[in-house]
Amino acid sequence: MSSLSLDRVDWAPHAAPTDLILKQVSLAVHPGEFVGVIGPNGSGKTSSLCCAFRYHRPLAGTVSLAAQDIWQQPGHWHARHAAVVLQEFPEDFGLSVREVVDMGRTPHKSLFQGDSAEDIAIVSQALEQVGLLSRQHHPFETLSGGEKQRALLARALAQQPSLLILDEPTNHLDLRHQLELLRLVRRLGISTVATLHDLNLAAAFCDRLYVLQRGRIVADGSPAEVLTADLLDRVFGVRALVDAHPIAGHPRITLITQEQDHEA
Amino acid sequence: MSASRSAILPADAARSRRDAFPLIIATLLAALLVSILIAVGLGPVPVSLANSWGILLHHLGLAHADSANLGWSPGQDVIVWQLRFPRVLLGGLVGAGLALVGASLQAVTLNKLADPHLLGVSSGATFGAIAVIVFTGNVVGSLTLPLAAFAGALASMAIVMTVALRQRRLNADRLLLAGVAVSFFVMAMANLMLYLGDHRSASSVVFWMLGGLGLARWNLLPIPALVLLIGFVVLVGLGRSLNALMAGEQTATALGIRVSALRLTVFVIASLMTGVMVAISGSIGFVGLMIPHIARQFVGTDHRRLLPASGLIGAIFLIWVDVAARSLIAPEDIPVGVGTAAIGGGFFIWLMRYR
Repeated sequence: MSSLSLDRVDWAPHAAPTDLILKQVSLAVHPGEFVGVIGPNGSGKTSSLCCAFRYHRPLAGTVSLAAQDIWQQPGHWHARHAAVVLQEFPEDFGLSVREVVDMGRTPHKSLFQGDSAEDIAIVSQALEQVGLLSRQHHPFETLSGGEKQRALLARALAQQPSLLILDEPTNHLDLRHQLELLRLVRRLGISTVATLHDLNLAAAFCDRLYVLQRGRIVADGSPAEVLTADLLDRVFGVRALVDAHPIAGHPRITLITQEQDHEA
Repeated sequence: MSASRSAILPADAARSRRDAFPLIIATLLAALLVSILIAVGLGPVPVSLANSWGILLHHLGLAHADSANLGWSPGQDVIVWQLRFPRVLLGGLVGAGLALVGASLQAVTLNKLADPHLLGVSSGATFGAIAVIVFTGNVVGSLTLPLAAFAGALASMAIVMTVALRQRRLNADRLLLAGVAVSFFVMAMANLMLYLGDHRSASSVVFWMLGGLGLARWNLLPIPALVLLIGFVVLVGLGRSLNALMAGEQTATALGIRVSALRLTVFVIASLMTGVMVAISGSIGFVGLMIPHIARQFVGTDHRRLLPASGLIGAIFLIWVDVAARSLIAPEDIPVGVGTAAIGGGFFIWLMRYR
């Protein structure tokens, strides 16, 4: 049973199925896997993630979490299984870090239900896991970019999900924080699907990769199978050398930055 | 849980907020009660506090005074019991309602400048009121004007919703733009009506638009009280969802919130509450915009705390502004909307300049 599966999903922003952004997209995340979705800008990476948490409703195809079609379940059901970290920061209404992480308990609560001791403990634990417990009462706005990203991850963890959905989790982070965040996610061992721009990070951290191009999955498999010089040329339009990382052994991509004319 | 216990932090603003909430609410409730008790004694006709309270206790059946021995005149009795007390209570209801609506609308539109009059409700109510004042007169008795104003508010709300809804989604920006556009259009029609109508009616229209609690009578209170109670319960019940909406539209969806349905629910409740308040007291500005910002300073952004605190502060605020409105140049009744706007505007300028 896979944690998440998209089965031949078509999607377009308007109901008219003329300009499909996603065409017959199928992907699966198995328990404990870290799956990367890569592709050029506008290829449909974020749109496919948005199908996984009911933000986009597919025109065709099915989206399942834990083998249940999410559109056959109540509106908040998916949020008890999948948690999402997006490129979206809370509005500046003066929320504290803890108030942001508290939001993660929302799908587990009904109207008028207060925070139980268990909720408080879960939120504290999530803050602890991302190393922000000591800053829980600071205004969210005053955090650095890396801390904000970690706070949003803590909110996702407070949902106690069986699947993490991450949209460009390393965006805006410096090198050290990029590595720390991805290591943290790997350490958690929760099934994860993430869109990633940095192909070397994708190669280092992902168990499997899906490659999107103009709304279609054009390749999938282990990083070694997917990340070839040929694919980089075809899909991303860049020339690159691909060899093995000297220490870890996963594919290493070296972009050829000179223009073609100057090459011998 | 050990993790939370082990983190012994210096008492700072956010921590004290959560712990201090019951104390803050108790303080505000006490302040509201004291405000009501003092405000009934204040006004153009001097009635001593002791006599005012005597009249209240007498009517509430809490004091059995010998009717020959009362320390107040029948005229004072009428002023305090028939006019002032309902007026103070209406001020509390309207102030609380507008502040609650403002705080909720600021959440669903993700806009700190949202207020109850932004979404077309007030202009619709004004249209209805002008139609009555200029053309029809009180054809169905003294409630003609509030009823027409409420009908105008509902019609305006329906138009705003029709314009804002697209593909069954309710987007915050579209909602605000539709509210502003419909407001301007409806106000233009209302002003045209005013211009073409009898010019002598203009002053009563202006007076109505500036807001006032002078209509308050006992028989008028049950409806706003009931609407406020229902609105309060529903909005506080939605508090956790409103919090999640602060995270942004996509994230809120990921947290299991049906964003458009939530917006629609809050918008309809807010419009009904505003419609009732405006119909009775005219468009009193600034309470809905300003009070939530003040309340956030005390209790933070969590709507389960913000909404009750906003309501109480709004009630206390409007009761006192109305005391000023009816006392400052007595026996003239300054429109209470002038007071709220002057104080509110001044407060905001001070806040921006010195905080």
